[in-house]
Amino acid sequence: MEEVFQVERLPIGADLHTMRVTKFKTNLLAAVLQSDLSVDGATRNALLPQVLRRGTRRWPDTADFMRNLDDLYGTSVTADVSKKGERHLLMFAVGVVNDAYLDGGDAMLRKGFSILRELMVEPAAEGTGLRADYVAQEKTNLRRRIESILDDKQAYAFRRCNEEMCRTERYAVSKLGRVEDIDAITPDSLADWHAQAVQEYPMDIFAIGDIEHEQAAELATEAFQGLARHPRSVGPASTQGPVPPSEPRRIVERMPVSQGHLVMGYRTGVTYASSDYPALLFANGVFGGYTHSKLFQNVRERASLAYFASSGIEQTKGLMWVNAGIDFDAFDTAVGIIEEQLEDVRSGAITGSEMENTRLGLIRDIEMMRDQPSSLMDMALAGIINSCPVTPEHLKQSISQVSVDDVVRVARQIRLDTVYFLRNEEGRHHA
Amino acid sequence: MLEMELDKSELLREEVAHTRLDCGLEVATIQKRGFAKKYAVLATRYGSCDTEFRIAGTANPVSTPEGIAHFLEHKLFEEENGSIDDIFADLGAYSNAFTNYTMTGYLFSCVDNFWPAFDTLLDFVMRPHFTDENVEKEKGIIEQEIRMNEDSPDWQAVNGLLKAMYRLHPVREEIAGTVDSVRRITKEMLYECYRTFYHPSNMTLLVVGDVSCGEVADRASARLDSRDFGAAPDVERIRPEEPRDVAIHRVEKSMAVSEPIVCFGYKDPNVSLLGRPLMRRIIGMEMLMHMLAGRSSALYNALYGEGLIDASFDWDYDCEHGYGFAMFEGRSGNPDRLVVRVAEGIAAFLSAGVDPDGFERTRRRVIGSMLRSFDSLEFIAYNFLTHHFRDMRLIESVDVARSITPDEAEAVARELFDPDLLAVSVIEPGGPESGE
Repeated sequence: MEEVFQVERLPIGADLHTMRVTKFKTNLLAAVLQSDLSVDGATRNALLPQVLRRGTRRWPDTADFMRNLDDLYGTSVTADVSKKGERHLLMFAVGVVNDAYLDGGDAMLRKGFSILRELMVEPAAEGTGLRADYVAQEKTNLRRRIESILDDKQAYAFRRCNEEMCRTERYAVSKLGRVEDIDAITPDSLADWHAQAVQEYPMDIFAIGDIEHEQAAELATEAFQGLARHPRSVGPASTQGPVPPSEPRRIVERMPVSQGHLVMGYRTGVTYASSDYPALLFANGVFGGYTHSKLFQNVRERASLAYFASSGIEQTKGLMWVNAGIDFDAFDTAVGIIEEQLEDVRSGAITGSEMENTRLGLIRDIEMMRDQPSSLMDMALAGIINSCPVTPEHLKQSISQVSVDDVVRVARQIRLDTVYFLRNEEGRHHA
Repeated sequence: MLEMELDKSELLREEVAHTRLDCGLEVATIQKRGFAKKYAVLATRYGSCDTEFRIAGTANPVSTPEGIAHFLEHKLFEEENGSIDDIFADLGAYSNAFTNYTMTGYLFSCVDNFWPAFDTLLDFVMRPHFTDENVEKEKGIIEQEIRMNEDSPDWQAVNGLLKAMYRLHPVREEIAGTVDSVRRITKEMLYECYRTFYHPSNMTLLVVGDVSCGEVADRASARLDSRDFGAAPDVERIRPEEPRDVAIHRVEKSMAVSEPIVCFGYKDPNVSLLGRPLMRRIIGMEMLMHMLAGRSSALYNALYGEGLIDASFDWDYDCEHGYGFAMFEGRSGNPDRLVVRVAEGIAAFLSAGVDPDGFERTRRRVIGSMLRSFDSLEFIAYNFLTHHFRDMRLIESVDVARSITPDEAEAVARELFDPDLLAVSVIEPGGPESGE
């Protein structure tokens, strides 16, 4: 049995995606707004959901809003930003307990859609702006959140690598925007930004769980019909980056750390909509996606250089990363081994079991998405953003047809662009 | 077919089928109809706290280096002809393992090939292969894992708190040990710990997924009951007598962070409970701490409004046989002020008494989140085992949450929130103190 999304363009100017699955005890309701990722808008987009989740017109006080959710069996509410390629997404989600587990008819589902609407389009306001105290507090918190990326050294190294690699591209813009753009935002300007976002950004609504499509369509329409939406089109989800330099850039930064944090950034030239995408998934799997992959086997198991060493891809922009936590002195050795592994993939030095295990791993990962509503939604979003809807079943079929030649062809397009290393201060004195 | 016992929850609509095999292994299955993923964990009651023990009939207690349980976990994956991960990969199964203070678990998840992967799990965990060479080789990998933890301020904050709270109990030591303690580990020590703690009678196997419970037990029995594991060793786990008071009220450490990170909490003076009473204590405290400092609480919103906390603020209560604590953590520009404000909030909360309406609202929230968590196989697996090893039953969570009274929860809070038992751990922005 395969679950697929049923898609319908609703007259409220949004697409509804539903999937009826009865095995879960909770239902996921979500709305996603898309905009172009830009320096200009990123900070306001990032601040907006932080302010919206503080309260609504009906529940302007945060504690009251949260108590109401407690009362509804701990209904979960999330509002945040994410990015896919050069699209910036505002995501709002509500998780409600399936009515079948309570004694209340369709009450939770209807209430869930109503909370989604209130959260997204009926904020706690004050005069012509959003509530001033919330805006002020969340401006501070956004700054703290941006600065706190430093606390997670892996995430920090990853972001620094991307900033350097994509420094001339919009992709380098952080999903949280920039500290220097926070100050200028006012309750009024954020209210204007909000009105424009909910009316003009393309919008997709998701309902996954024990929900009939018709019922979801009715509840979504009822919830959002007052919006007077007139969606405008957004730009491309991804632009071709510059050709990587013939000699990769090397960036070394120093900080008081215990471990060296290595991130290597590559350009794959292959995106979600490409017919080579399944082969890219495969190449990444052979190279570094799993414990059977070349990176884990050689960097960790053979050379004992790292606890983790893996690769991952960005499906919309066409990037790939390798990351590993290593000893400061192991930098050259580790980079050498990592490059050798990719060279082996490029030259077709791939064993039958590396191919077969990667195939099994990829297919298993796709199958397991069926147990995770958020993963199902994420895959649907990748299809929407890349204008290339692919069902899990379809992707599995494409993967089953990938050959060693396909993997080699794709791997030969992958070019190392930037090597970033975060290391300790110590070596500076006697380097 | 083996005789199975059934524990059911009507509200969760879940049941646990369990039995004990002749070899002593406990086997449990939670069948999740319609789920693609199948998840199996084989766990032993052996964690980082079990560094000292005595086998009945032997004269001297055995003392082992910190981090040895975790080291053993890494090394069990090693087989005579390579890593067992290779076999799981050949089957399309994902394999992994974890070690915490009290347990070590080996797991795989898969969609297809469940039974061959199941056999592989039982085989490799019950078949150690340690050599001087493979033990030496692992030290570099584990050293990097320790270094990774050293760079994690959240981890350092929590570990700092445990060191501040506990004078002697081994929960104050890092699960992975230190670079030095790990270097002292030998093949012989690993075999001794293996013989002591990996007898089937000390272990539990759990399967979660769309798998028949009868088949799980029969298959495990066929795989193991013909083998001779010898008599179960009579093990005494030696734990130092931990005093009631905390070791030190405040510790701090400098790291490269954007602002201070604080972790503070109360050392539980009552850590002798197991089973239902422990479960009532844990769920009661979870409800009470939500009322005190959860996102819907007056205190949380006051602190948030004053900028003393941000969305990273969180809290937890956990209690194990031998140690326990209620803990608050988060980023704060003024950690000491935050600690004072929370302590004042606790005093005010206790003097006002528990609001009955708020308690009922919290009960609904807790029951809802229990329902939600049963959508995750990983959550079920990990928490089933954590409960089971404390003689508690995860499946009874909703029943316990339904029956707890405000007075009962309040009594626990009064016992626990003793200002003398408060300890604070702060990570301050800056370089390391050693001035490298």
